[in-house]
Amino acid sequence: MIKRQNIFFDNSLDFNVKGGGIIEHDTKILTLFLNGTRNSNSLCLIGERLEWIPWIWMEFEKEKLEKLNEINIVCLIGDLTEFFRRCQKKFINVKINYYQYNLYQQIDFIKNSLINKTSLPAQCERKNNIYSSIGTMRLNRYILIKESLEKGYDFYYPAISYNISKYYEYQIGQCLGTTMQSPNRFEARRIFKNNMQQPEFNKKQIQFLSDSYINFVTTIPNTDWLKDQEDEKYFDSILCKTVPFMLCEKNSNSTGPELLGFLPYIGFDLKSDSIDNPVLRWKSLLEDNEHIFKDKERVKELYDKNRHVIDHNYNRLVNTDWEAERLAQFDRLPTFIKENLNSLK
Amino acid sequence: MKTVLPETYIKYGYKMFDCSLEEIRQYIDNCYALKKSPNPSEKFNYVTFADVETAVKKINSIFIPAEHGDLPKVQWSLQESAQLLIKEIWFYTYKDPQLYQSAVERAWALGGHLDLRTEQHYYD
Repeated sequence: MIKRQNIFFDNSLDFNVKGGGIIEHDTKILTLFLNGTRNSNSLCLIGERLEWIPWIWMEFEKEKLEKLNEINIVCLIGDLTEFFRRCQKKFINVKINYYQYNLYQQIDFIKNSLINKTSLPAQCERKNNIYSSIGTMRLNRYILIKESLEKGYDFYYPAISYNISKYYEYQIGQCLGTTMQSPNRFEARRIFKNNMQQPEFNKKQIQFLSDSYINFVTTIPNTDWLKDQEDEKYFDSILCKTVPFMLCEKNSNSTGPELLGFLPYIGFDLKSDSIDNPVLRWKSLLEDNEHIFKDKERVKELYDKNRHVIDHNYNRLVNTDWEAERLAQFDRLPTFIKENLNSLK
Repeated sequence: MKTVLPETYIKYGYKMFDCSLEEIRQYIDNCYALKKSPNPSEKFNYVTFADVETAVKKINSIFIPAEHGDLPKVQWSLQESAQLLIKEIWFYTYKDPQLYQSAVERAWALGGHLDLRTEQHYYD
């Protein structure tokens, strides 16, 4: 009997590096379940660049991977076709299969946004050019906060300690190949005075999103292998008919999450959207579009150019039977994958 | 014949706590629960290694990819009553130190470059 093994890249995955890895010696068919918001599936600074932990793991286990008959890649959020192609090139004698089931996880983000539809204001009066509110600090968000302080943008964020600042400044210096800038301590700047859980916050901030033309979307920075892993920050922008500006993966502004049927927004200067180095990409995108963010006329012009995209994306979000689409994706999966996914629920 | 670059010289030291993996894990978990920085030397003694080969095997260095661990010329020795394992390395090219260090960092990213009971010493 052919031995099958499943690996779920979740928060509890132990790679057992000292014990020689996790792929069992007699495994012939390996199925990898990947999404984009877990510790075992995140980015890590290696030398002067950010690397994706699952790819580091594949390098570690490459001798065992090369001996497999088959590798199944199950994508549970976004689009991992680039990763699939990379695996095909690396393991030329192994049959590599790719299964797309991005709605497995993304439907939760979509549903969470749709809950807030009832909070939309009856009439919008967009008073602010740009908006951003950050909860958990991450590298792309830290870069955005520093830019906002330098340029005087009216953003909201948590307190940043000296050590956290040092951690991010080190990563930025390494990725840019420059001297590390002095860390700093930043006081929190919050929209609401009271502490609240995320669902309540997301509901309350609808008013602020609806008051603004552009919202900065800084999804968990992942890798250029994983694309279109948009979460509620992006879907909330669509719901509020606010234009999202993405500091995420490569080309995330240029292409948009087409897999989900959304159109990319136009009018931004996106010459830096395809830069491989994520830190340089995020910093350059902010710099290239500063002239838009600061100028109300330019912002309004950009917004008007996007009216058809705004309407298309809004209609797609609110009028789609997402549960039916998720079920259709699920039905297309092979039985052994369905069974494993059902056991997770 | 390859020639080492003297200016790429790096020295590392390794000591190992004399306990089981389970014991050190438990100790680290307790420290975390008490919001205290772990300092295993306050609880465990150091292992006295039988010889260099045994010591190298015990600290169990992992590199990803493994071949980048073989980039330098390596010289091992034991000091301090055979409790301190010294690793001295020299590289043959100027790009090799970066590849070597990245291979160490990749191993840490997956959960560890060295046996959990190993205490690393630096000599900058």
